[in-house]
Amino acid sequence: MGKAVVIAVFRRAYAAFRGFDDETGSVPMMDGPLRPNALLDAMPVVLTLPDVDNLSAWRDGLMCSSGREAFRLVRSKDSLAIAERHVFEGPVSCLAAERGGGLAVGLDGQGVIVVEGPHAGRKISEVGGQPLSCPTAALFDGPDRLVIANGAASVTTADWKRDLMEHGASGAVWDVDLARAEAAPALLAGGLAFPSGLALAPNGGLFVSEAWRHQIVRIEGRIVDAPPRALVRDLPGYPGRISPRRAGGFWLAMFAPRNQLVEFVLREHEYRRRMIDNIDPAYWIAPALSSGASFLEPIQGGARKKLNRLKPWSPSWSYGLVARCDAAMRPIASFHSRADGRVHGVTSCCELEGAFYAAAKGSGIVVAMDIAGAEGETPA
Amino acid sequence: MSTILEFQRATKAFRGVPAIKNIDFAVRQGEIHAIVGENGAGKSTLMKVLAGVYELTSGALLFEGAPLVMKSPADAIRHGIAMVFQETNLVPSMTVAQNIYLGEEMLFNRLRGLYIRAQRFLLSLNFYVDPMALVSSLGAGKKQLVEIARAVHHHARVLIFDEPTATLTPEEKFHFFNLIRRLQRQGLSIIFISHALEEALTLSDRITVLRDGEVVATDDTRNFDREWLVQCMVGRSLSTQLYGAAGGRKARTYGEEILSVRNLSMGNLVRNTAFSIFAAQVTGLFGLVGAGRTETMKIVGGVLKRDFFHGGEIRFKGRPVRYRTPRPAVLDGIVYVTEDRKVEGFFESMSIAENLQIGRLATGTNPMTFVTLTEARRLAREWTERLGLRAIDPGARVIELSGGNQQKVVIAKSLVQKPKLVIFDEPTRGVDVSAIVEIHRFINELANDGIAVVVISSYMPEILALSDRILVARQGRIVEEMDIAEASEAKIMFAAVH
Repeated sequence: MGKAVVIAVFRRAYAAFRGFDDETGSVPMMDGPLRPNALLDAMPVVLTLPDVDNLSAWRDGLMCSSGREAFRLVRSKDSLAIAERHVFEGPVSCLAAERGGGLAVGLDGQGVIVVEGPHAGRKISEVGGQPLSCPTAALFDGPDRLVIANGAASVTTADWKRDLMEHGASGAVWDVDLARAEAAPALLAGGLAFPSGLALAPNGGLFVSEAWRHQIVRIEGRIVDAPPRALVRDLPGYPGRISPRRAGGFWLAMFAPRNQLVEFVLREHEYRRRMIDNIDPAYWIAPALSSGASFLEPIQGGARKKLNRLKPWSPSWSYGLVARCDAAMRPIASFHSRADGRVHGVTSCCELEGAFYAAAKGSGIVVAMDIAGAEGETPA
Repeated sequence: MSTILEFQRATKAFRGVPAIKNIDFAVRQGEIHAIVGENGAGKSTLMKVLAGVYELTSGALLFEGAPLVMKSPADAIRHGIAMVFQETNLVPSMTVAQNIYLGEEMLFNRLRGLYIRAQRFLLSLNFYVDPMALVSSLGAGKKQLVEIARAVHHHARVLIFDEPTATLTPEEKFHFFNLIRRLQRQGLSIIFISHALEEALTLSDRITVLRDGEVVATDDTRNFDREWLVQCMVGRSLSTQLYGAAGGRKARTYGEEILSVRNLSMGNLVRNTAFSIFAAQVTGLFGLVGAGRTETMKIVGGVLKRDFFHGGEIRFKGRPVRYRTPRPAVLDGIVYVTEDRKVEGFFESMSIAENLQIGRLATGTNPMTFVTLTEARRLAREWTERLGLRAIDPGARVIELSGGNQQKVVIAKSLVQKPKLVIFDEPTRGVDVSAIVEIHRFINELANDGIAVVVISSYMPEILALSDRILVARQGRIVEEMDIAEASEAKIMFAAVH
């Protein structure tokens, strides 16, 4: 105890001397291109589907998932309609669609199955001798190559809060050669803190969103010696899936906001351990895809004392945020649904035929807007 | 109204170059007379002759019809002519009260009595300044108030104000205008030099326009409007060039986040503020005097130090930094272009080339490196051309330049350091309309070249004309951010005062 205090004192003195903000663990503010607005809320709802996730463009329509089901969606006037429904053996945790028709489905706790295309039926359930239990994102790099992000080595995607609270950094990105059945998946990068989104970089390599480190990293393909290089650091939310823009650049979905209280809890090891042991994960002091549904949620009527005055305060556990990024993954504009909004927990987004779609898993809706509006808008 | 003061064919030349020539100009008893003109038009020279700083080369100055020759400012004060200078001329190491009563010291001074007298006097003017405060501890706005108070104290019959409102808040301006009108009612004649043309148009009875050292027009104020005034001043229409671009303008795209400031604190002046600055953009920083804008940016530039504990964090290009002096900030690529050019901006007795060379030395040039005079002059020539600097001769000392050209020297001195982030603090304060256009153009060029630019300004049209993104400061922190497309004067002012 005494030793820890002494070390903490030196750490703080050193931080003060060097100018780090060690004590407050401050969360970057949403300003500049990430300045809050209500543009996600202003978008019309085109589909209502509980737990809608993994929105991606495939063939002439869209694919999405909800629990154990995957759906093919088609445009119907001003909304989306379900054209096909597929049921899988486990909850669908990711989808990868290929331009040539290939489709791969990630099943939570089970691995990834290629369900359409020349390699249909191929199942990847192990990577590097470990079970592929947390497939958070996948993408095709050509018809014969599949890149898979395994969020964590020991938890499933449904248990993502646990990985965050345990300071998980066991995620990895794997490269699977579908053309050679005997080829073992190749590790592209390991030690990642919940890789949750993948995209092909314009000049080769991969962009990976590393949720718990709030950053986007770049992986230089199969060059094992090249460690991931952080491109965008210290985002104000937890970055999730990445989707390319037709006009160049990317869409980045951030599924939850960061807040001071969670950052504080993440530094308080004993408190966190007891919270994990004793409290239902739905009521942890942790980010969430949706909130406000139960009186058991923490700090609903919170307050803090500042300058000797008691002030009402309650952090927002969930949020809706999609960033429009340039080709280097730098945010240049953003679309928000704030604490009082209805488009929370956006886990995926994509473009199709001149329209932009965002799937809010927390709110169970898909919203859309014309790309012209999304590009022309300068909300930041 | 009778004429109290008159110039007849007045000429003042420096090294044979006339700064004013053949000026015929009269001030009537009890009028407010505005003098407008570009920097370098001769306004300050004319007024300095009136204040006894310079003597006329030829021509005559008549005071109540009799010729008047003044050898010093003390002569002018004896005749009831007092001047409030453009850049404050207070003694920084003395208190406010000592500055007001400077030159009236008796053999035995009783400081307490002096402070009481000063307190009463300042309150009578509605100036809320502590008479015991050292002038060096005051902001630019309050220094100006002390300067005005000193002039009023001298029971002047003719009061000359050179850019009196440049640093005042709207509330202070309101009090100042009331004071001017009160003094006018008491029969004083007031000469008022201002670049804020609206002030000249609303406050004065008559306006005289100077251009290139000559009187272009003198008339009753009601016969002028802003457009006509600007045309008289520059010989061309500049109003659209100046501030016409504001409103509905599309902002530049965000570049790299170059500066991230979080929870920054410094005493009561900067209080837990947070904001980011992006490359390839002009970020306007608006706030009333005392909002902590300058202090915040001075901390970023290493001029001031943030609180040692709980002072927050500054990240420059993602790296936490704590500058204790400006030099490491300059080495990293952060430069702060001061609002107080006379005190912090340049070495007034040195030439342009020497000032620029000193600026360049801060960038880590090996002190043992031999710098040739030719090289220094080449640098000065390059920047003189780039910024359109106008000097009587290339070797002229900076003090001999007009306000606008001095400001250009300050800017050039900072930019020779090849910065990545430039912080302009009131870049066009006390600068004429023509120089404003050039400085604005230059600021835009910097942003177009990918440099992050911050412009601190108290003048709303300038913020609206220049910025891609506007931050509003109030009581030591950033309270509002807005895109230029949605910004309006009303919105900005609302954020600044509520």
